[in-house]
Amino acid sequence: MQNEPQISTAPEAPRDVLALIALCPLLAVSDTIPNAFAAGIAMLVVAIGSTAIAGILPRWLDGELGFAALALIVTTVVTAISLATHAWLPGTYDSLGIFLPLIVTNVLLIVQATRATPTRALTTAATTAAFVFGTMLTLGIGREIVGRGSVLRDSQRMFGDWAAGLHQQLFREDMGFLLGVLPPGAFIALGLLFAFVKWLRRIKQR
Amino acid sequence: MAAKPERTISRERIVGAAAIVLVAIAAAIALSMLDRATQARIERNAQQWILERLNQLVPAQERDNDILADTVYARSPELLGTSRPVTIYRARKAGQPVAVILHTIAPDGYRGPIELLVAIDVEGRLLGVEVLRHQETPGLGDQFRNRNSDWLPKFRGRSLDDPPQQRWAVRNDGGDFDAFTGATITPRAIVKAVRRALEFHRAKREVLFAAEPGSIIR
Ligand SMILES: Cc1cc2nc3c(=O)[nH]c(=O)nc-3n(C[C@H](O)[C@H](O)[C@H](O)COP(=O)(O)O)c2cc1C
Repeated sequence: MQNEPQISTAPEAPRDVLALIALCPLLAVSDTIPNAFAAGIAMLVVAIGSTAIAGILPRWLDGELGFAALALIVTTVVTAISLATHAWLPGTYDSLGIFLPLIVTNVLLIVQATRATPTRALTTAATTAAFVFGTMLTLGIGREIVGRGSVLRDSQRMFGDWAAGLHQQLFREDMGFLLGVLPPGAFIALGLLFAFVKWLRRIKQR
Repeated sequence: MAAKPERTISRERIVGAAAIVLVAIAAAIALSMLDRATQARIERNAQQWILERLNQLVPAQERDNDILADTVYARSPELLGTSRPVTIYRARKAGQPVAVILHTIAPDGYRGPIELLVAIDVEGRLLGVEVLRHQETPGLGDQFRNRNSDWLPKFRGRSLDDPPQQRWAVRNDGGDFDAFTGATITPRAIVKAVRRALEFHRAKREVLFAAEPGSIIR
């Protein structure tokens, strides 16, 4: 097969870099804890579900074709979750609905990198997704406190009526720092988070 | 045409392409099944959602008709903020008109159109205004939800004559309605849309209740 075009695959990037890029489409919904939580869970479910389904694809289906199949699977799973949320969790859909399709790029970045080793694919996808989930939740906590002075605002919309009492106002909303709520605040918060993690690592190394 | 160019498509490629087609067919079947299973429920959720909001404006005990079915449509880009037909819900009790609720649009919000429900009684007085959907800036443009939650209720009882027409504006524009701290554009858009809904009501009040359900008022 000398004249076969070279199949291009993404270069192997370090997992944390990949997870970081994968995080970007979802950043907008990290403005409150319930939003971040729900988006993170949706992403976890899609990542694990898609990897599991992709596992039944024949091994010889790799390269470009494998990626096309994977893209089909991920978009199908996301659409399915979107429909199911719309039908059975309308409150969640109200807040997340328009962001759910973004999970596709997100998960493709995570899952694509792990296609190479099908046996470990599931655990790798799950741990990467869990890492993204943790980051989302941390951002959600930070941004909700800084931007709105509260924790778990509007939980009942996301989790049902039992959660109405979870909302705690720590200080007056007027005192909130608007940047925390606006989309640029997500990137600033992410930058701060990574600076903090780097700082922790350096301390540990000493 | 000379001899056919030599084909270099390999067997694996054809089998691979067939596999992709199979995956696509499986995906399409699965999704259309799920779509069918969820459609009715999604529709029901949407009706329930709008009904809850309609009930906040015209409580269920003040009407006895099926308000979701007793609707007409109106197309009036200047007064209703959209070139699409706007749904008008009609509330009646014992056959008598009680109020209409217009699903109108404030087209000039800070970050796009703001969807409103404007309830107007038969005298042309406002029963209330609800914001259905909006994309205004959290913390600035959405203050009617939290910091200024007493702002929307202030429309209740107002009409085109109260305040007089030239004062149907936010205070910054010489009107009677407060703006929000640091956000004038959103309240301005809402006040304008509510005033226009009242103007629409005044122009069409004769036909609003007479029109057949489902018809378009012109
Ligand atoms: C990032 C950002 C978002 C804003 N969002 C809104 C908004 O949603 N609604 C609004 O009325 N004003 C918003 N404003 C403020 C308006 O730009 C404007 O300054 C404000 O409405 C005051 O108008 P005035 O000068 O006519 O009083 C925003 C400003 C910034 C910088």
